[in-house]
Parts: sequence; C-alpha cells; structure tokens
Amino acid sequence: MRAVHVFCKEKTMSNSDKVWPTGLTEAESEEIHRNLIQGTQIFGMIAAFAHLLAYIYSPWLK
Amino acid sequence: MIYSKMWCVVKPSVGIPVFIAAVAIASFSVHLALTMNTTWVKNFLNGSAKVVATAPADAAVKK
Repeated sequence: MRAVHVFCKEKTMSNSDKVWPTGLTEAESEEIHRNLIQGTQIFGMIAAFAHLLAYIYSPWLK
Repeated sequence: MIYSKMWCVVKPSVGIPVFIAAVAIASFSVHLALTMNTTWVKNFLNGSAKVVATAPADAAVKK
C-alpha cells in the first residue's frame, strides 16, 4: 500500500517535494518570490509618492 | 508567477542582497548625477533664505 502511495505521489505531484541545491523546494521558492515582489511593489509606491512630493515642492522639472 | 522558481538555484541569502544593492546603487547614482550636474538642487537644499538674500544684490548689480 505504501509503495502504491509513493508511486502515486511521484506521478501526481511532479516532484514538488524535491529539495533543490539552495535547500529550498519549489513552493518555498515561490513564497520567497511572492514576498520579494510585494516588497518591491511597496518600495515602488513609496518611491513614487516621494517623487510626487519632490515634483510638487521642489524646482524639479520646472 | 514568472521566475518564481529562480530561488531553487540562486541562494536567497546571496540573491536578495545583490538585488537590493543593485537598486540602492542605481538610485544613489541617479541622485548623485542629478546633484552634480544641476544647479537647482544645491540652491534648493540651501534654502530659500539665501535666494532672498542674494536677490536684491543681483538686482543692484543689474542697475
């Protein structure tokens, strides 16, 4: 029964439990990437707001 | 999400500091170039008081 279960797992999950050279699985890698993208978006929004303030309150582009 | 599996082959402890450093260096370079190649940044950072103080002097010279 266990052998069948392992066989089915390998067939259906496309080896998603594999630990890659960095020590991460694909799911962990995707989680890190999601957080990095979110951090970049928040940084970008703050930077855009800062540039808006600089445009309004400094002689930049005037 | 595109490229989301890159952390399987790039160590996050290396890749994320490199990414943040690249953003920081690029941003610093742009702002340094802006400061070095324009005049208004220095004038702006010096404040408007100096502009007000020098304005009559400039006007006097023009007369």
